[in-house]
Amino acid sequence: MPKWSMVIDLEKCVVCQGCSIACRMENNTPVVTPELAGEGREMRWNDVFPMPHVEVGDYPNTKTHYMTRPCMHCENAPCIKVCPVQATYIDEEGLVRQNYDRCIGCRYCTVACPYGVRYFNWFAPEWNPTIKQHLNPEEVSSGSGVLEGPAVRPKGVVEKCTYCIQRLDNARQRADAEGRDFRPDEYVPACVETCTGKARFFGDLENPDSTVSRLAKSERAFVLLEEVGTHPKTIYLQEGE
Amino acid sequence: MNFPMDNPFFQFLYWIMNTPGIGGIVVVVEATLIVIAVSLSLRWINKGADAPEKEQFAYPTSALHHYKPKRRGFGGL
Amino acid sequence: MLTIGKRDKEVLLDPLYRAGRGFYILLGVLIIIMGWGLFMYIRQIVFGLGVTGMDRPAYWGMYMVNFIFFIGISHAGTLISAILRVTGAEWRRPITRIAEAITAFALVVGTIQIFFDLGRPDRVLYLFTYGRLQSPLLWDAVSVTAYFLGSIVYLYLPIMPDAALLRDNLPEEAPPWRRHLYKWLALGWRGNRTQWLRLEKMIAVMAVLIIPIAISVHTVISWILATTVQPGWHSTVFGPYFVVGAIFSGIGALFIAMTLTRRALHLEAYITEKQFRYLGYIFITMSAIWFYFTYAEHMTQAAGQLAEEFPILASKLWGPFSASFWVMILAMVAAFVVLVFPLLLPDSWSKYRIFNPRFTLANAVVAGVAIVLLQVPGMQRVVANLSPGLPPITLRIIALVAGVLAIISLLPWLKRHLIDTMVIASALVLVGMWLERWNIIVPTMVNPRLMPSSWYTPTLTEWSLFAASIALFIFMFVLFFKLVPAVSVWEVREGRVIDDVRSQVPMPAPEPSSSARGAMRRSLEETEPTY
Repeated sequence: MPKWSMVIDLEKCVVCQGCSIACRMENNTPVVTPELAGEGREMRWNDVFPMPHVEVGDYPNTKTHYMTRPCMHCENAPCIKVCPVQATYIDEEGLVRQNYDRCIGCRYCTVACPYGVRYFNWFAPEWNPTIKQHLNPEEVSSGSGVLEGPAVRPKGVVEKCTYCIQRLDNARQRADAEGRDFRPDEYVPACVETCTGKARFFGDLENPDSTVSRLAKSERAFVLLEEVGTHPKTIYLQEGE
Repeated sequence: MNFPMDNPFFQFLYWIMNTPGIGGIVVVVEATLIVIAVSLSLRWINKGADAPEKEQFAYPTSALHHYKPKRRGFGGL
Repeated sequence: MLTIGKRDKEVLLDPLYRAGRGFYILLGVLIIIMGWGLFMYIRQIVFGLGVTGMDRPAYWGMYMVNFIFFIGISHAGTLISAILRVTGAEWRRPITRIAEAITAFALVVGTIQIFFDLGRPDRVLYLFTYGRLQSPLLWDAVSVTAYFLGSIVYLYLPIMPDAALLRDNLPEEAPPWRRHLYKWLALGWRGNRTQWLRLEKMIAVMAVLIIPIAISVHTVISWILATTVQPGWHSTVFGPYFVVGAIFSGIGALFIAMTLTRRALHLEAYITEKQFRYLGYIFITMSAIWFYFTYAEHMTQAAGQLAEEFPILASKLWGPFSASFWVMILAMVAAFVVLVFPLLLPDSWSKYRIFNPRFTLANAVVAGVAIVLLQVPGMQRVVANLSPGLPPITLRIIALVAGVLAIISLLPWLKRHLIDTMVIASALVLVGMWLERWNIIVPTMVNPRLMPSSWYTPTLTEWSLFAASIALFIFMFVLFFKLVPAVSVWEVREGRVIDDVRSQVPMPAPEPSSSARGAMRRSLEETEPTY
């Protein structure tokens, strides 16, 4: 059983925000007006942002560190522990998933997440007509009352990065249709596929020979907020000064 | 898995903690038990009216408590 | 057929069947406020929670503050009345019913806050069908369920004999639904010995059981916050801190409810200064414990200076939350001063001229003017132009001295007006406790780890629903005391019997003071019998 993991090399990241846009198109995250974004209602499952409170050097020779932040898919996820209805849960492949059909919108998970990667639908989602025609029609729904992935979310539920679980689904189905075993290198999330600087790597952490396993052993590897004990599977490679 | 979680007992505890629906069952069972206990107690008080006693007290007086049987409850005050 | 004395009947039972114009005006106003709140809530459901001021990262805001606040208020009643019953405090008798009613209604209002806060209130039943015990929200469901059912029973049990009394003394003109209601509430109460003994036993059992349940409720609410890893919340002291705060604000609510009920229903002969005085002692104790916990909580954060916690503390001490933090501290200190200082004032001091309300007013005006001159921008320059020799430091000293004098000279007035004092202190404490919850929830929310700090301002929706919640609370409270007497009739009458008996028992002479002791010893030596 693979353990999905993502490695992001901050040294290679050029802050083009392509990952953020690719994620938006792949996962149908609603677009909000600049006014609402100013009020903190924007949604970017994969946010690219300057690190707050971290600036290096004296004016004018300053440098800002940029960060790109998908869900950490923690092994010991605080959001899962607090959800009263198991609308969020971790599957056997280590993906922290969100079930829109179950979520009651109490926002306890968004409060408990130390990374701030969970987003709440403050309003019903809106798109301009052109985008609306090109929404990703895929959705992941298994059985009764499970709706995940890029399916359009109703207002009042929480959503988050899924490592593009619909792509995993598709890759599995393709392998099935072709009558062969599914290989973990057949699937990458949209942000990894689009990354301009090839700064993102995705793969199976269980396999010691996979790219992500090797990079995770790098001296530059670190995880965000290691001290809160969440054991994230999104791993960063440190940027040189 | 590390220590406590390879023990079946702790696995059972985790199952109780983590299974959706168990929480609801606990709340419902708890509420049912309380309601049953209270209803029985209220019925018990209600049945007390059938005791063959003539006097009625609008409030507990010393007369009520002086004539008490040996088993002296400490209730009320 | 149970009987009641004429005076008790006039004061306690008869007003239940009368309603003046003020009653209907009050109900009308409350219904208007609640209707507005309902409109705003429907609007929120239609448009989504975006109509509130909540955002990312301030995912929780005023609804959560109000939830904790109202559940805290609910500790007024059951806990206080249970502790007083268990410890056999005789003076509790006239106020237990008011306290227990506060509990039941504040719990209802507090639980409604969860509906306000949910993004999908239509799925609230999922809490039961898919409830997971690992989530602290389920712990809350478990303990609030127990507390709510327990409080209802605990409120109902002492009503039984009163309902029977009402049933037996129903006036001719009373509407038939009242007859049915009281008959149903009395549950076949006859008032014979067996029934009384059983009722007393059950009340005693409930009083003991409800205390741990009440403590569990607010502890679990604090654990909703404390079990997360968010800076400022992940604190071991939160459980007891919240319980103490809950009891503290609960007594505040009880004082205000007692005073208003007493005034509205003319219960001066029942709820006397004695109740205010003794409950005031508990109030002072809770105040001291609250200061202790507040200090412990903030001091450890300040001394630890953890990189993530300290900015939150700093935002309270001198950052954007300094206003709400220091107003909270000021309100609590003022409440403590108002409660304690009059007790310390010797009676003989009232002869001094400075203990005069007019002097208070003058000093307060002086202090107020000085503060305005100091605070309002531009005023300082005006001051400097008008009187070049008056630097701001002089103004500060004037404000301080005048303020202190105003408080000191007010003390004898406070001492004479015990009930007003308690209402002032209670209002201060309620404001302070609401701000305390605000200062716990919001600063942590707007200072997340990996995001720039943001700001949270409640919108009209949140304020409207807060007002509607308070209105709903008052509405239930007022209607309830049109149905059952605000004072537990049988308990008060039982108390009179006990007082009577006590007055007949020869009490031992009071312990002599040390000065009298010498004289007594001398007189004893003189009369010492010789064997």
